[in-house]
Amino acid sequence: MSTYYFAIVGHNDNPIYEKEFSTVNKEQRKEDHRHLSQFIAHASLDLVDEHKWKTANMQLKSIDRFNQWFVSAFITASQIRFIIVHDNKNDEGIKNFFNEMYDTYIKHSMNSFYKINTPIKSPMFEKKSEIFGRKYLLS
Amino acid sequence: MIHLTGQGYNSRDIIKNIFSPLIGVVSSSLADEVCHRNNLSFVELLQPFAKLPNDAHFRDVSGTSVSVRGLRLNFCDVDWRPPQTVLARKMLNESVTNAQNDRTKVVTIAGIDLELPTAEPWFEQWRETFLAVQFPAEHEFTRHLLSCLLVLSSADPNIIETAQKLTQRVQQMQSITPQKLPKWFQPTEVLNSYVVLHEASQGDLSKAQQGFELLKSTFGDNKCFLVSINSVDSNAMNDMPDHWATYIKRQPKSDNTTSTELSAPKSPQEAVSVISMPAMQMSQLLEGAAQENEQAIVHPLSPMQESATEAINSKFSISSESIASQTINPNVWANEVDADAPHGQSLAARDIENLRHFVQDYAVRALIPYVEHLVVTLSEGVTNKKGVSKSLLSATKRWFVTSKPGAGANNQNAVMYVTIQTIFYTVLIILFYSYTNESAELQTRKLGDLYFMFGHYNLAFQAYHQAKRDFNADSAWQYYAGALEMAALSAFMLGTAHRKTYDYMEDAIVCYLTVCKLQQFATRATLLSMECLKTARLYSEVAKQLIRMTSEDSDLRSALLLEQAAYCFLVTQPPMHRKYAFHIVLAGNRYSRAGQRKHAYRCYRQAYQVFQHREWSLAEDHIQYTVAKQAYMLKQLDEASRSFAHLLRPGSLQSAQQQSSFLKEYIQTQNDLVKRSPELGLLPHALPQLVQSSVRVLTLVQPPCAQPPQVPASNIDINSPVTSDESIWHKIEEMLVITAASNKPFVFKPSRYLYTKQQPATEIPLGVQGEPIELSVALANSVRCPINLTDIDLLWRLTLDNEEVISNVCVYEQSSDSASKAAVSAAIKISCLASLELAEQAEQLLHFKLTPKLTGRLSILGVVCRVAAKAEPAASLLGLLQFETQRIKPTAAKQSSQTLLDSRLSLKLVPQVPALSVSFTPVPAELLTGEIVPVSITLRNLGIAPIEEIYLGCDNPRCLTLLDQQHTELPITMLSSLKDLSNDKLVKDKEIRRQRVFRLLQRQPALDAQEGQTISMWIQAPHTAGPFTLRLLFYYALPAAANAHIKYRLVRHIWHVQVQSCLQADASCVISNAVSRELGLDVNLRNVHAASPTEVYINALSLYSKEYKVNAQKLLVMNNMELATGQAGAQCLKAAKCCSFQCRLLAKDPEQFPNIPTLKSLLHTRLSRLEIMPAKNAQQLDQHMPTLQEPHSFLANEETNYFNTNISTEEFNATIASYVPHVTLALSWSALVQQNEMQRVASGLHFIKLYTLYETGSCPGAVEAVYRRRLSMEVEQSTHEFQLPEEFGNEAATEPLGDDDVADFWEPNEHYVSQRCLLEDETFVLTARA
Repeated sequence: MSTYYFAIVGHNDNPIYEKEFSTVNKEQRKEDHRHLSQFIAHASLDLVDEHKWKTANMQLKSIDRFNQWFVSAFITASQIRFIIVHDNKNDEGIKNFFNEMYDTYIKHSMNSFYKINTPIKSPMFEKKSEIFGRKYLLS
Repeated sequence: MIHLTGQGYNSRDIIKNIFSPLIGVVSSSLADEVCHRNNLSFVELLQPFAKLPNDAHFRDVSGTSVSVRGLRLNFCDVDWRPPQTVLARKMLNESVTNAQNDRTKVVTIAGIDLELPTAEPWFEQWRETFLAVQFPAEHEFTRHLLSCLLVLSSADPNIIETAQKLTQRVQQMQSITPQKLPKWFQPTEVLNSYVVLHEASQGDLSKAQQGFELLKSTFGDNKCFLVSINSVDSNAMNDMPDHWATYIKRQPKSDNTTSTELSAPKSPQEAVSVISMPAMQMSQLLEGAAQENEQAIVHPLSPMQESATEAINSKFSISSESIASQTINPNVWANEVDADAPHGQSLAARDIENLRHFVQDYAVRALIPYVEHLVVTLSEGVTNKKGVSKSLLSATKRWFVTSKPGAGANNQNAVMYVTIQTIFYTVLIILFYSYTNESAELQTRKLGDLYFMFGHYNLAFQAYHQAKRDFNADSAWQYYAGALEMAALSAFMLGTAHRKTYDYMEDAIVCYLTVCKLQQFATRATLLSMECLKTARLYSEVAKQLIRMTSEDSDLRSALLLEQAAYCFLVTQPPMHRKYAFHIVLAGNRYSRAGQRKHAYRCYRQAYQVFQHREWSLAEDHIQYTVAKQAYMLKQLDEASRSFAHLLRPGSLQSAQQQSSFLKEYIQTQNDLVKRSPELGLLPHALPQLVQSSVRVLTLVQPPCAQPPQVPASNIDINSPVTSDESIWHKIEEMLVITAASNKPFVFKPSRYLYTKQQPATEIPLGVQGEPIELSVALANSVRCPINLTDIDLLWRLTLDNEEVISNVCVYEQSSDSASKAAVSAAIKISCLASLELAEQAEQLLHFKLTPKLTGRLSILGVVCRVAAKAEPAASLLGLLQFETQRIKPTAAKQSSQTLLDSRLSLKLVPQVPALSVSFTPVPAELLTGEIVPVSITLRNLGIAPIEEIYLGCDNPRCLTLLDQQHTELPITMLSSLKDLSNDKLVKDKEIRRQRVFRLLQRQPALDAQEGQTISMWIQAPHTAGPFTLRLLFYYALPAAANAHIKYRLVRHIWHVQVQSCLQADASCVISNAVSRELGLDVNLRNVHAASPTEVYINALSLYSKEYKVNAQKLLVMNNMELATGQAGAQCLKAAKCCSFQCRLLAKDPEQFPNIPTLKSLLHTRLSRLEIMPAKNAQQLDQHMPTLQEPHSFLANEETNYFNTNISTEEFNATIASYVPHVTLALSWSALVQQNEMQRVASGLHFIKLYTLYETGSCPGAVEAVYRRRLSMEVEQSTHEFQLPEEFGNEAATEPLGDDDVADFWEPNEHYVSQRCLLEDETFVLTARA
């Protein structure tokens, strides 16, 4: 029973990619969390701003929490923010997931047809995030 | 009463006011009467003057004099009781509801303009009420009555007696054990003072003084005060300022109705329904948090019942029933006094001064000496008893208990442990915490409270610090927390606050919250802490503490605190606007659960300022939905429908079910809005979306007047895609116009009828009165549930020529009368689909046909329709989808800075003009190669004026002949066979036009009004298989006077035909008899039609030649093995069968024309015919076909060299200068074709051109050979002027390979293979260019 909400946030605080990973199957899951996850992820951006200059690391670890949800973050060199809202601790998995997604994101951003800060709609990207999510977050 | 609002108090003032000394007041009935003349009670009367105007001096225990600045006394009726829980809750709710502040300020953070309220009076009011309704507690004394005022009237005849009675009553209250409410600070020796109110306007002062003296002698000098008031008659007008307005809080009666409407959760169900989005329930999520904080849910407002522990501990002997039965002092909270009446009407400035003086006098003469006395007593008590209280029991107790409150409380893993510990504490508390009033610890605390109340913060801090240590040692956590709280406040008031003292407060809150489970006190401590931390600018700390105090048991409190926390995030450095947004949403959520709709609405709107345009789709939806719901409840329907409309935007991530419920609510809201304010008229729809770029307008629509099987001219279809076709049409039109204008110079501009995004209307389109205009527009459904559209109509505005404006907007307004509605509907007739169903996220085209009955300027404004969800057709909404004027993208060539607006929806309607209707007899969709189809064209003038002249233009004149076409001249190619044209002056463009433009009905006028004419025409399918299109453009000029705007009109027709290959014919000329040198024509025929039952009959062979004719006697069938008997004749070629035959040629006499012959006679001379194996009814079939000798036969077309429209002048000249001698074979055939279960008889002609001996010409496939031939002639620079067979004699000498053999007279192909390849390559280039 663990759920992860992953979002990549662009420079205008706009989500450019969103994905949910959950071990709970779709019927059982309440849809309720989806907007709350967005609220939590958005609110945590303030703390990303606070933490990003405090460390040379791109991994910002767990930076915020709201009730039972934790927020882990990662920031790229170009200030694109990766946020995960999760309800159980999994530092190692999240770290690996962030690294892999960073790699994928970099490759995707190299595509000259992709404009930075616009929603990512690549099926390839989607597939990769699915794979890494299953590998690092849900396993 | 505590006053915290509306006076611009700073943090210190607020704390001072909260902890001001409490003075009880009891008054005689006569004194009450005196006060009531001012519409006030005595307590209220004193409120504005409760602050001492001058400094007072206070001597502490060491005898040092401390000046007390701005001391405020808190007067309170002794009969006043804190309200019981239900009432208190109502009061808190109302204090929030009634406090509104609509003024906003704009703060810009991170580029976002946030509109925030300038102040939050609802929070201040709530805080004031919250502090006011607190019950005095056992562990602190600031809320205990310090002294008592007994109020008497000078008019009382038995003033002493009354005073005695009151004294008795008060003393009874004070001496009762155990203590009941009200509580007294030092019950054993309360300061009771006496006030005599004298009415200056009525009473006799000397009599009053007499009574006063008597009183003084009875109760002591310093305890009695005489105040003279009411020196003005209350009936007289008094222009004294109302000092009381801001102090007195009675609920105005008028508010009762509004407050219930605005907030007041009428039932829990309703409160839930406000916030619960079908699939979005934030409340459930927050419960998790609450459960962490709260084990036992206690009513937030009753300290009495916080927990069982507390009840026992705090030794309230009064049962909860007795409290419930207590009445609230009507003077304070009830509505009995008219709230709106002015206060203090009987008071003159002198009286006000008297009251002020009285307060000062009372403080200095009576209260402060009493307090000094108390301080001394308490200090002594503390010093004496120190050490004594260290009882054996408490010492024992310390063995068991850790002395840090909640040491393990924060550790979640140790919940069990904490619970056990709590129970243990509870037991201990019950056993040992019987601090008597005289115990040293409580004396210390009391001392601290006294010092604090009288502004001696230094000593107060010391006392509290001492008390804190003692209580901690005794593990008396509630007392400990109270002392900590006060110590922190003392440090703050002293100005020596630092990290540690802030931590005191933090510890106090945690202790109240986790150990004592006293939500109320924790809240109060948080509110106090908030003031301290704000002064120190530690905003994030404030936010943290405020957020901690949110819990499930009180939505209102949580909402207020969350909102304050949200504002704190905005003033931190750097500002955290995203945290703000989240917390304001949480606050809004709590407000809505608490039934505070206005505040919920406000909070969510504030949050939306951060979230808008950020693409957090679901979050945005939650906000918008709540805003919509709250706005709906608050009757702000326009806001509500705007938010609902936002929820239906394209790209929403909501589920279908969710969206359909949004849609339902949107429709309901809009309908309510329209019902309430009908003056709004038609409201724009949020759904479906009108795809603005898809608007197409067609101004030329074929009137439907063709009778089947006649086919009307195809004209322009409104949905026709933009293709390169348009330029072909324009070229034809240009040729027509120039021909019609008989070379008068003018600038040609193609006429436009269809306006789309790709073909924008830069000029105003013209519509004709009485002729329909078509309009198509795509509607898109952006949601995941199907919707139905009904009552579809167009909204338009017509400006007549006399500048009168009519519009059908009035049809949709209730106010207008039915007569004008009918008149408007008659002006323009609109027809379209009655209803339309749009599937989920589908896009569909909607067609309209407008028929204007008037002239003027017409603007089409929008589509009116009734939208309903498919699932619920009953709930529908009438609204408007507006057309927006599109901008024309400036073309790259013209970089004009001004933006052009598309005017396709503002048409000009011109009066009626003649209209030509064109229809045709049907042409099969599939033809055989070379097939000839007769077509008759019916032209009909539908207008009321005659049509002057009609022209027909065609893009492929080779495939078309007209019966009445009068060929005055021979085609150039045929003419060149008679004479050399290279010196003739021929104009290229004119020749091209001559080939392609035909004038029809050559008479004046061509067609009278309502007249119809039929013209015969034949079409021949090309000899190559594949798709074939033929375009016809009819041009007709209008009478010059009829219309200045339109000079001519056009009718288009296009045929799309699929051509199938059928007969393949090859022919070559050979010398059949070397001796007689007789020439023979070998003809091979093959039926290559794909379908097997096709039968082909070869009717006849005709030879078009200058020099030869066919020998009608000699027909040698070489191969008839595969010939079979068919349905229409004895000899037919079935599919995939072939046959061949030879016919012989005879030389003709050289033709002699005195001058240029007519086409007919030329054809007649040169043609010779041979019957081959005709079908039975060949004669009959031939009647429908143009005979070869006629000028309208296709042989003439075949012999005509059609120029390409973009041919260069050089090419043109070269072409007309050269004549290539050749013979042309025309094979006339018929075929029986099986098509779609129908048998069809087709007839056609195949042409084969032969140039040289032994060369094989074929048809189809001859095209390439012709090119090759032409090219080879050019390369050879040949000047042959005669047909091939004639070369025979003349050429013999020039042949280098000349031989005796006759064969040599045929010109052999002299090219080497490689050369031929090269030539072929060039041929391709030519083909491509063509």
